[in-house]
Amino acid sequence: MKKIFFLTILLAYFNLYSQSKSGKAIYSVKIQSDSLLKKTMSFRLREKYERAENEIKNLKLKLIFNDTISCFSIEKNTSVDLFALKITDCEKTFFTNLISNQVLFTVPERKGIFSKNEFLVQKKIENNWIFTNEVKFIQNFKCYKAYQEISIKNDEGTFYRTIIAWYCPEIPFTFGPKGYCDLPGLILELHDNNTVFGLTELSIYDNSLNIELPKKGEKIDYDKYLDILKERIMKRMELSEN
Amino acid sequence: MKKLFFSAIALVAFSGVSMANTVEVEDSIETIVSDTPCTDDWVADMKFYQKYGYSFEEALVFADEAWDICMDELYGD
Repeated sequence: MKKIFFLTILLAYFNLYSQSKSGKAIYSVKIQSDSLLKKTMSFRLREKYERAENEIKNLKLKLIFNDTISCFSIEKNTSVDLFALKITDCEKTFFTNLISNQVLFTVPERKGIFSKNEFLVQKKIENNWIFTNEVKFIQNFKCYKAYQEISIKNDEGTFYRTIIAWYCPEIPFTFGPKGYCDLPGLILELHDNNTVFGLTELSIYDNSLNIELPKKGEKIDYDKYLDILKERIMKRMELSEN
Repeated sequence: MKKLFFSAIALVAFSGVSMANTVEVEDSIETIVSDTPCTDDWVADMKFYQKYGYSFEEALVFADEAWDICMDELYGD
């Protein structure tokens, strides 16, 4: 009798998630303190950085998703300092499109550099996840650890960074913060450098949410975006010299 | 006489080496020196944060913030 009861509960549970078509997840953000980095900063910059570390705890981000598209952006009504948003890369809105295998992000308006909705940057979804057996519970959901190395090419060379994702196979949506996706379950915690996104709330809906991809702005590849950014920054520095 | 000749050779050799180094140092300074110290700091910051493994965009956030602080300290708000 006990077995049948347990089986019924289990079936009902799986049925609940298999019927679900969309959802909304709320994440908090944390900056893991980097003492080495802080030591290199001037007093006033360190002060700003530490203020950002504290302030960012008030920020809430939302991930809305259906079967094929997700949108990761700031939850409204949160006022956090711009520097805090910039160092955690939370200024942008990320769209993940599984059909085109692309991540799109908006370029925030920056005085003298970018105007509002000027560009829409597209990147190929990075999927080099390495799966592990490490398990931990996040908000009572059993999560597994996966990680991937991403390369960062800058003016000083090529550097490698490990991105860690804790995903939950019980929640059958393959999305996560900042466009990271393609895991067999929703990403409930993401570590990108010293920024950590952690799930705080989750809502799953039976109906499919309509998520519209942005249309405003010229679509450009990430490399071209970087070239334009560098060119405009150099122009800005030249102007500030005159 | 021998000593004097040797000294002259040594002096020429030494000045040659030291002049070569001077040129090298002047070249590297020329590429960094600008009219404002904040710009010099910005260039140095961009180099540092990128060497630290940050992307150009990430390095820019820190270098720009430091530049703002520098300008504020030099010229006020």
